[in-house]
Amino acid sequence: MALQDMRAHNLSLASRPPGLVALFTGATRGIGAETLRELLTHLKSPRIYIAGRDASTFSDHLSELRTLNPGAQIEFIEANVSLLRQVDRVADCVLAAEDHLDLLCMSQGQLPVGGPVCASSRHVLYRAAANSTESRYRGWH
Amino acid sequence: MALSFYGRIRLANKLLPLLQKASQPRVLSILAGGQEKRLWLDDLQLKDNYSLFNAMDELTSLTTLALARLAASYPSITFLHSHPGLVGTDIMSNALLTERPGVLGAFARFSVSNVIVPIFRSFVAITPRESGERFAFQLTSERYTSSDKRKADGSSPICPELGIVNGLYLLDQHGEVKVNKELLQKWMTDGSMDKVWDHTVFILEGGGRT
Repeated sequence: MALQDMRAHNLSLASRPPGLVALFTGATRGIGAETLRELLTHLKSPRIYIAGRDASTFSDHLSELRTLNPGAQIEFIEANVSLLRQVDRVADCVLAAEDHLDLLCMSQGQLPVGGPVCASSRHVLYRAAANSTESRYRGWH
Repeated sequence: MALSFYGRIRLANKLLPLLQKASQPRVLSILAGGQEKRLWLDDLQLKDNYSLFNAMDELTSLTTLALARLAASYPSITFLHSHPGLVGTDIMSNALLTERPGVLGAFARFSVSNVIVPIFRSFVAITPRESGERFAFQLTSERYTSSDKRKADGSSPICPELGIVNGLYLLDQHGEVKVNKELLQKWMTDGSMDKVWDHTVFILEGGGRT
């Protein structure tokens, strides 16, 4: 499908009913951030939740997003979604505040190459188990 | 990345009741839909088969199969597993610029910053901005109807030849369904989907601890 047709569709979002509810994870930068910005530009009075690691580093970006669409309600949920117990907290925040959810957009995560993401890359896949164990000990279960 | 798989499935799973209350709910996972190649069914965590490329293949397959399983249980929700194509974000340079000591490391960092990344950005990749436009389309287009809606329209909700498994669409950056249909058909009929789901639930419930 051609990009120009997608753009035409996105422009038409302005005529949709207001109040769409969306949750984004991984949208503090990169592709997720741009997807969020595009929707925010066109939708009427959306309610948007953004889960991200650090509210203070995101605050300028957040103000800019609010300026972009003053009718929108944008909430930042400070959470590290690579930890399962914090994933639960994000879900609970949205469950407590909304009676429905239209869109869930997930783009978190990094390539498992070198560096702090997986200092011991051989064991990157074991970390899920390690984390869920940790989550359990910390009272998630 | 492995964590992001379990975390994404857990988040989607917890929010399904809320999504069900929307008129046209949609779940989008941006990873590598349509790129399914291999699945280590007897070593789902790659304890004996780990390599970077194996891990990417495995996580792609796990994501597709787990979402397909959710899609089967929640036919009013549209699920999308999408591949962004090559996008000029800093994810690639971050991955390549990790610590490597010595002169060779410095040379590698210099090459990545000054040669590889600029060439990649100028000639190969699309911009993050454009990628955002494409995913905003995928999140809102009527093109990707739910399984319930497809059934009501007389189309089959399961259509592996189109890359539609239950209400799950496997999409590339052009928003087209793109899939290895033989592989998908095999996974749907040989018990792979259920095995992946059982494993995912096991991990999410705190299994695997020592």
